[in-house]
Amino acid sequence: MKIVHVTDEVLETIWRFEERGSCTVEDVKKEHEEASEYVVDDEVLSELEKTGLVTISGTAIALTVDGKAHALPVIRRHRIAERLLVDVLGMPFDAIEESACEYEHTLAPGLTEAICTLLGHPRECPHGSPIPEGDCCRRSERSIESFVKPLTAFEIGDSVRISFIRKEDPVLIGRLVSFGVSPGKIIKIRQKFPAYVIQIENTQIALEQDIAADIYGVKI
Amino acid sequence: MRKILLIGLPNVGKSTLFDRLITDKVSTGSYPGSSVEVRRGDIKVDGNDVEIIDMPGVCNLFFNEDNERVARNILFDEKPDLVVQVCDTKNLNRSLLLTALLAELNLPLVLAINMVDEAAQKGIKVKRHKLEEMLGIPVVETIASEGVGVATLISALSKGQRPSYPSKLPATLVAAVNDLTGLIGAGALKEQEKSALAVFSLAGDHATSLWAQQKIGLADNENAGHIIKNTTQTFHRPLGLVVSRANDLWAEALYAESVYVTPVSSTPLLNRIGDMALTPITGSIILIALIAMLYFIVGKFAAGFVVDFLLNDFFGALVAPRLKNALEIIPYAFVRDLIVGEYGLYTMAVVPVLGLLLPILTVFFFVFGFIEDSGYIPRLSILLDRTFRKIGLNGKAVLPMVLGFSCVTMATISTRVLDNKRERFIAIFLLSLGIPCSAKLSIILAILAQVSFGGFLVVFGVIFFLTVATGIVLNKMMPLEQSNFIMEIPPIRIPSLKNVLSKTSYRSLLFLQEAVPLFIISALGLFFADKIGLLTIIETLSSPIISGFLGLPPQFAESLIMGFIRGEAGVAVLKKMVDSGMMNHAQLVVAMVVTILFIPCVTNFMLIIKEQGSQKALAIIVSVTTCAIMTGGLLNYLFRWANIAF
Repeated sequence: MKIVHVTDEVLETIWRFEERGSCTVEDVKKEHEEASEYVVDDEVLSELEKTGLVTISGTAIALTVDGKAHALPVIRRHRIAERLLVDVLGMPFDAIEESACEYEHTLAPGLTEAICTLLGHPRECPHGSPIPEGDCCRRSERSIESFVKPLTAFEIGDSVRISFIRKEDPVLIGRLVSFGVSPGKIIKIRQKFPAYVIQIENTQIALEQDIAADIYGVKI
Repeated sequence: MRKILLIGLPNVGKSTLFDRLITDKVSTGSYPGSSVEVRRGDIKVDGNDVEIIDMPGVCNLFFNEDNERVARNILFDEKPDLVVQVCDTKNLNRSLLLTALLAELNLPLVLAINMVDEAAQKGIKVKRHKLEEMLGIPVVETIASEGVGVATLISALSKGQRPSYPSKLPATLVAAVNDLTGLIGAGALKEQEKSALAVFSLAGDHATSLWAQQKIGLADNENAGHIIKNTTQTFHRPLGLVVSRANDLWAEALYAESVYVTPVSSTPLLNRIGDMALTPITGSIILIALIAMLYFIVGKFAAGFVVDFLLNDFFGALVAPRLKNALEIIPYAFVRDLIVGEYGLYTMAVVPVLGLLLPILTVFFFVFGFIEDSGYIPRLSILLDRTFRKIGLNGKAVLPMVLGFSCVTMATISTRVLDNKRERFIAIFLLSLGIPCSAKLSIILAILAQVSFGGFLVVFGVIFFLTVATGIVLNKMMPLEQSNFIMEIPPIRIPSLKNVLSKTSYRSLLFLQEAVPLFIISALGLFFADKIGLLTIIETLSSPIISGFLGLPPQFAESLIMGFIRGEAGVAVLKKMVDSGMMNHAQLVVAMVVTILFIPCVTNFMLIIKEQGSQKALAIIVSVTTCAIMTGGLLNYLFRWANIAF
């Protein structure tokens, strides 16, 4: 494995820890203990510090502005790849980690944007971590038809497997979940006007258009 | 055992089951500090009287919404000895999500899987023994609407068990629950309550979490705050969803083992009707048919035929003369007046309640009960939601609005079908402003027939415009907290006559209990106002407005006052004035607009007070009256200025 991959891996680890709070040198080393192809030790880390990607003070290690800029596309590729594997290829959540790690190093920037568009510009990976926005998300491109689309883009009679729900309000998401509308579930679109009516198993649920537009899925 | 709580998702048939279970009378009331209606009744378990509580459906105990909050309060403060969860067998896996949350509380539980008949129609069959074995609690199949399985359920009540629930929560979350539980000081709480409340502290929404933290005395504990914050950050998403996801997996596994489904291909007629009610064109046809039916049964039959018979033939011709004769033995005219005089208790309280309201309402509750139990109303609100949303109401409001054209008072009561206070307020406001009852309407139409068609258009155009505009303004003034419209659509069912009858009698009796005191008070008030000459004084005082601003004959005040007391009495006075040629056509148009816009009648006024409280009632009355007078005045000046004579 090339040195650049080690850099990617370490920066990615620090990014993930920083998302939840802060990161220590110990955290980084522990995370890569079991890696067989490379070693993350003090030497590697101080090398990174010299290149100006991280700062180390005492036990704490943090990304610099450059480090963040370097890690962002890696994280983005990794999480987009996870969505691709789950939404399009239908792999189970817990089997995707290794493949996603491969993709994060190999996806070309243009390809990442194409996949992101195909997936409907997702904001979260299947595990619920945020996916950093790319240029394509900001332009919310629709140049190729998305594979993962909001419910509003499907036709009456379509069966849709829900990929993700793009709503922030936890109460609303909770309500949807308790109605049985959650990622992985299959719903059928019964009606689109005056309200959206979806069928999930033996229940019919009416949703206003606003909510239907934030539920994304794949036609099956 | 002293107390049992009946709980379940919305629309699973809890209340129907409750009605079947109880042996004794029910007490109904809002749960303290909320508007959630909780019913309590008695039930015999092993020969002992036990209190059983019925409350509206809950979705997920982690939310701080009204029903969920009340459920948590009952569970933790009243500490029921047994929880009976009612499930809709058709959607057992969703109910099992709630079962998982209840299992977290570690209370003895009995599962009633209801509507097994509907499930069977859909090819769904539950292996009851398997489910019992896996959950470790009694599972009883019921059809609440027919009383099937109720006896078995009652005998199972003493066998409630703590469910075996191998928690599927992620290890990190379990560790956080344990850490939190470890921080809780010694107190009155049992171990299981501590860990349940720890779960609520972590997984509840903001307010629920605070509530749980206060219960376990950790609200200001820094360590507890850290645990909650760190755990939330680890998962990147609300912990409630993490718990739901974990429970979902558990429920799915349980469902897969205990339920088998044989696909049923045909679409039964009822399903097709249900779909038709939801689609704009067929839905509108069904709605118009139902409205016509309501109008004929409630408006024509009850409010017309039955009420005519009761008021004229029974109370008027039969009871009143005999009562007056019997009262002759009382030597004081004052006392006789107090009972049978023009504003006496008999005339103003007994007759309107028993002769007018009770028959109309009983018939309305009966018809409405049928519609309600058929599963139609959710479809109606979906159908008309967008239209009514613009004036601050939702689709359900079409019923009160239509009923208003037969009797505004009845329509005011029927606003109870609306979901929240805000909508009820707007509906009641619009009803008292722009909807004339059938009694008024028929005479108004008769009078307008003498004026040109242009006059007719102006009167109803102005009324329609004002009503819609007021709705839009009220909608803007009272913003919605949240407009997340998600609604389960229950299947179309054929209602059971017995259930509808029992609901009708229950509602009618409740109405009597509430209305009788109000009517007695208002009758006494009017009686004394009349005795001290207050009514005449009002007439004199209001004449500058009537004659000056509105440009109408002073006698119009009499019409308004009489109309306030009894709607049709007012328009009768007006008709007399018209017949004697006191007003020209322009004045007539003004008088009609003011009459329709003016507050309906004293009965309606009393009901508004009862439904909305005196403060809001006063606001409604003042705005409606002001609006009526101002509009009348403006029209008066406009007609004069533009020389419009119709």
